[in-house]
Amino acid sequence: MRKVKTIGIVISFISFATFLGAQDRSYLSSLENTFTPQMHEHHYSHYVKDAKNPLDFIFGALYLSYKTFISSQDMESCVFHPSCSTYAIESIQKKGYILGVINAFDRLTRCHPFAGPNYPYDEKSQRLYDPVD
Amino acid sequence: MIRWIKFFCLILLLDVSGSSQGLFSYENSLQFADYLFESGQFSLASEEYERVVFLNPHDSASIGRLLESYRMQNRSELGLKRAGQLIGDRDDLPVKLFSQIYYLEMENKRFEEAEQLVKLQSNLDDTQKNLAHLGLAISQNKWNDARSYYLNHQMAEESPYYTSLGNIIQEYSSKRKKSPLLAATLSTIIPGAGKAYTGRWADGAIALVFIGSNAWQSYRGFEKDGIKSVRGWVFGAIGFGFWVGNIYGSYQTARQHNQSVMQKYHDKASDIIYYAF
Amino acid sequence: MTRLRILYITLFSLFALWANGQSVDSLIAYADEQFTAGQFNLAAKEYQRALFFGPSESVGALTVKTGDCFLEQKMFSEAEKYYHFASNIIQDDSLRFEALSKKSVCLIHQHSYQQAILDLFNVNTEFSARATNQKEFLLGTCFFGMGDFKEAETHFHLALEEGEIAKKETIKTLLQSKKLMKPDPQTAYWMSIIIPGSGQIYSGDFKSGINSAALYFGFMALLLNMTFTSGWVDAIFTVAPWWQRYYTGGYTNAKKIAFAKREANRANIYRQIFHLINER
Repeated sequence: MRKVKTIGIVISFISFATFLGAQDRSYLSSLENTFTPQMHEHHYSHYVKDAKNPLDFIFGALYLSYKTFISSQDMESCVFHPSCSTYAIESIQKKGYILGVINAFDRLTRCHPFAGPNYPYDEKSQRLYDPVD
Repeated sequence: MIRWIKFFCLILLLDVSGSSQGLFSYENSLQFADYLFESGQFSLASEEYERVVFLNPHDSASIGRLLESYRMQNRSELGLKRAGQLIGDRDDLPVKLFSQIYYLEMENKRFEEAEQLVKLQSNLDDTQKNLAHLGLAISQNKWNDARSYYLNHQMAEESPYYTSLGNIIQEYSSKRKKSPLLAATLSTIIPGAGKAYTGRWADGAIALVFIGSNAWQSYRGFEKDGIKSVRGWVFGAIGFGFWVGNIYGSYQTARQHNQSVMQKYHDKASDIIYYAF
Repeated sequence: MTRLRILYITLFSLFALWANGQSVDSLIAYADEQFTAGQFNLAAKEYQRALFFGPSESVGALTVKTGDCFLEQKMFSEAEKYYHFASNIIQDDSLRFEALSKKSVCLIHQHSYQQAILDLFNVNTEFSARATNQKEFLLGTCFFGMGDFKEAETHFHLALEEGEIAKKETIKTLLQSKKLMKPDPQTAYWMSIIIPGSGQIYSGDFKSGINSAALYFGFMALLLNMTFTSGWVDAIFTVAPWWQRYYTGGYTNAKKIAFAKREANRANIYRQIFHLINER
């Protein structure tokens, strides 16, 4: 009989402890990093790394250096997601060198403040959504 | 005494079985599943309906809602698979259940199967049958077929659903489409004109400014330094790029314009078809 | 003998009633177990089943638990709805405090500090000193988020016990540290307007500063070169827009970089305060 009682007490103690633990554990601890700014790591180099031929490499390198040294110094001027430069390199990959470049030139003329009503809005990037189709 | 003990045991057994079944009984599960469904928690609702349907495989209303909850989660493929497993015979289904399978077939682009399904139903009235046919034609973008079907099947006493669907079909048919080739030609002659023709005035104006200013820069370069002018060649190439890009873009924009007009009417029609049953 | 039989029947019926109540309890226990195991969606569903079939007294507590399932998944606005609903129907002070403090955690994560402050000021925590401490900690966090460090200090102090003087002193120094205000975005902005690139370097981003200055002076050189070779009209039409673009981009970026660095500094200081108060 005593054994049963002891086991009962132990079990209730354990369950009480887990109860307390669950109470305390999570909801305040989530505040620890609440003010830490979300850093977005950008990786622009994979077009260079994945290049299959010299021409791909050149376009990849152009894209990488534009993104790193020029675009990074610009204001947020492109109204689209993906941005014009990303669109250009994706367009070249999907449509080939000639049609891809032509398509990218067209994108540049579409990128202006009055583009609003013609494109869906992408909540995440807070830009107009216009992927290469 | 033994008799009494038996009696107590029976009572005890009944009570305990009643209580352990209680929460998870068919009726309670159904109630709870309906609550989850109506509060929009479709992923939880589909789990619960699965159990409801397991407990009572003849509950066609719950099968319908199970399929609908899969559809609402954008899991039409799974929904269709479950429909195949749960429903042996597809003829003369209750209208609600029919409509769910019909939507699933269409969303999975199995139009022939959907048509077959419509043919098997005798519970549908004429309006519903006609609506189902029009819905099939429209989801395959066969607008001309839809139009001639509607004109051949006008009914004396139409339901408002059928009338407005007919109106949408006729409105779309009378809508003027933009010609991609004309757009490209216009942009070849006057940069940006093709874009303006497709309704993108701002795009056209920007293209005109870009091409014009680059051409002008190039011209000034060549004028000053002759054929060897670096500036002339650089701006010339950029301007040429914009010009060709604009021609290609005008062609594409006209196509996209037609596409998006069709999509708009397609969505309007879908709204009606999805409400009609 | 007959009386005894009646007694037996009554007793067994009572047992049956108890067993029925038991099944909701065991359902909650099952949901709790799923919650602990990290199966939050499953737990949310079973809590709602218990809500649906259980006695009306448990609605408040079960709503809080359902909210917990969303909070654990960092779905703050969803969780907030459940806590808000719970806080409106709960009578018990301690449970109401739990609902409201969890709601304010959700609000803080969504940067709605004002709303969280209103909720916290309206909650009664007289039932326990610990709850009062927690409330003050949350209030301090809200004021910290709003950039009101003086008010934050007051509340963080109240979040500690009377005797914890050393900790209070540390918090005071932390909250008066210059790092909370540095680098100043406005300073960085004006520095880069006057000398392109300098604001970025001031904010600690040397690479971006050099990059910006290089673009600025590069385009300026091109502009001058073109003015001398082709005349000022061509220079203004071809190069000036680019020169202007990266100049504007430079000082806007300097401000942004300074802001991000300052946020990181503040987050760092908050983390220290968080540990001081919550680790005992």
